[in-house]
Amino acid sequence: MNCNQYLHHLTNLLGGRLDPDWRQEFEEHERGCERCARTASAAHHAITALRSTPRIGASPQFKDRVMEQIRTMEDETRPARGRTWRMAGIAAAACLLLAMAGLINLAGDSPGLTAFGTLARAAEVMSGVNSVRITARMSTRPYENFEWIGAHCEPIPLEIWTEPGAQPRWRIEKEGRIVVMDGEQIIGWIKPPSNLAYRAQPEAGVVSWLRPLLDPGQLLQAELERARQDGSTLLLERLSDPVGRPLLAVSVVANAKGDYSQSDYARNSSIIESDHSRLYIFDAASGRLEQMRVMIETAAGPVTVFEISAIEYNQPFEDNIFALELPADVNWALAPEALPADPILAARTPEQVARDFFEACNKEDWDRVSILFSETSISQPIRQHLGELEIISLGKPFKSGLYPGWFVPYEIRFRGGETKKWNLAVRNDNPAGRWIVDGGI
Amino acid sequence: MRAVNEMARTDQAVEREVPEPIDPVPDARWPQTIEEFERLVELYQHRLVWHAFRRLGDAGEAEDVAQEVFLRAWRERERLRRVIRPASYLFRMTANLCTDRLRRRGRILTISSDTLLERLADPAAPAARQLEALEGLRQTEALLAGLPERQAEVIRLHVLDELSLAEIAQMLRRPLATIKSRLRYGLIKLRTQRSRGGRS
Repeated sequence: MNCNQYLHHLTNLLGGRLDPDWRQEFEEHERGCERCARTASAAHHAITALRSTPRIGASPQFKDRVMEQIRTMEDETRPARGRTWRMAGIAAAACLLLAMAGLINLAGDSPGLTAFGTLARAAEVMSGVNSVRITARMSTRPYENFEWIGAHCEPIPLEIWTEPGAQPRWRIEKEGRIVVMDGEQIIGWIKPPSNLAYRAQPEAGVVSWLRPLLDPGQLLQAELERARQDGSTLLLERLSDPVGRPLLAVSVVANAKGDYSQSDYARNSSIIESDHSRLYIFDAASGRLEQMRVMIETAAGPVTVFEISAIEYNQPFEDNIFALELPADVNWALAPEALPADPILAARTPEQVARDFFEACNKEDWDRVSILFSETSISQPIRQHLGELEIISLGKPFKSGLYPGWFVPYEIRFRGGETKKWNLAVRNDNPAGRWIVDGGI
Repeated sequence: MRAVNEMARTDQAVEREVPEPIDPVPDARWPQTIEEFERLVELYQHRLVWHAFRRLGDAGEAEDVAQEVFLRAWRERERLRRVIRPASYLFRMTANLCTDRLRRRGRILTISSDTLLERLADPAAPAARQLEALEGLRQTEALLAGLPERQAEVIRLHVLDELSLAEIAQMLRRPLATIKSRLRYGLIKLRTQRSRGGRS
């Protein structure tokens, strides 16, 4: 036996898998080779020391606690009987959603079936899928963030690839934006003219409302939790598709979240900031989610803003689907946690920040603009667009909805003479507490 | 840097020499009934809590993580039918959840003297057993401090968590040969440290 073989068998010995036939040769080599003997001695010494480390184990109640939760989960997946749900106000919206889905309502009793039980079963089934590919349409703009909706916008295609699990990977794509979670980190890219990329930690709220869709099992589980905790209004319908396949539809009605006491500006700018209905349609046999629609209530009546048109399960994806290739000249947005301290900027008011920003654009001071935008640099098309603009007026900042920052009303004139009246979004909820311009241009 | 580079090249050379073993338990299956699952919990509860504690340094949080691991493992039991080494899956999920928690905390725990002193100074100090374990881990880390992290991690998983080398390979999604070579070079490094009158 030579030293190499000795070391190989030493790892087998430590792994408890040394073949008895080798033991004699092993011991002979050890007696004749001081170097290997020292390695073995050091290994045994270290391992003895490591094994003597005092340990922490599970408490005596741990197993019972876990098993109790598992039994509760099991009970919940069986059809719940005798539970009543708050139904007021939902019937009209839900019926309209079903009619729009082109499905046939099978009137009549559904003994043993409840909305709660249907969701619970679906959550259980969906938690077992390896991959999900979703094709959807969303009323939004190509370059807006993935949260933003506009009831007046034409629906545009949105595609999602996801591998849920303990270390999930996913990709969401629309015409002007892509965001990818590669298992370690999130990388997003806003296509030109912005040509801006950003990195974020997996738990960052990057895609906001779409996030639950990346793990449909968790999405339905969350619906169940909400139903339990706040008594969300649920409605179950038995349906069939045009070829007679039985389906189950669960509708959930939710009120807009956020504070609108100062302004309604952010109302209906995202799904959770809207009064809305969520409709889930499941295959009655497999329990899998087949379609989903979201309809928001607007002054002009209900409008569908999100619709899943196809879902495929457990299909293999291309290897590179969770990778994002960026152009060499991409600009990078600084992560909020990476923003350097800037006491002067931190002491500004929202209105002063807006003025700083527009004045920097006017002077074409792109270093200053990039600091306020928290980007590494400003792309040429954006420079062309914003350069030499003039402030006509700035209004009183206000807050609205769930947005953590302020909106500053403005009117500006571009160098070509055209004017724009809108609200600049500024925020300072980063660790450095400094203001950045977040959108609204 | 030079030593690290040389070690990396050697690692690759060894990888080619040792073939992957055929899995010895092809018929094992993931528990599907509550009774079977209870046995799984019984079997792994202490090891998972210990593993999470090693990473988080807090017994309460470690139990929370282990509980979440078991609940997920139950919810995903259908998908996991073909998992033949439950330990690899359970430990990987525990490690991932611990990493998530540490990221939320904004730091990765190292059991330094400062950490220990902080905990001792804490008026809501954890029980003596927990402090004793933290002190033990601090000594462990001192012993392994001169090793590259990848080698130290294999030694920790093998000795402290009692995972077989095949289980570690599956947990870390690396070839068995790589795990063996990391263990081997870790042990050689320990010898070098010891002969220099180093940390051990």
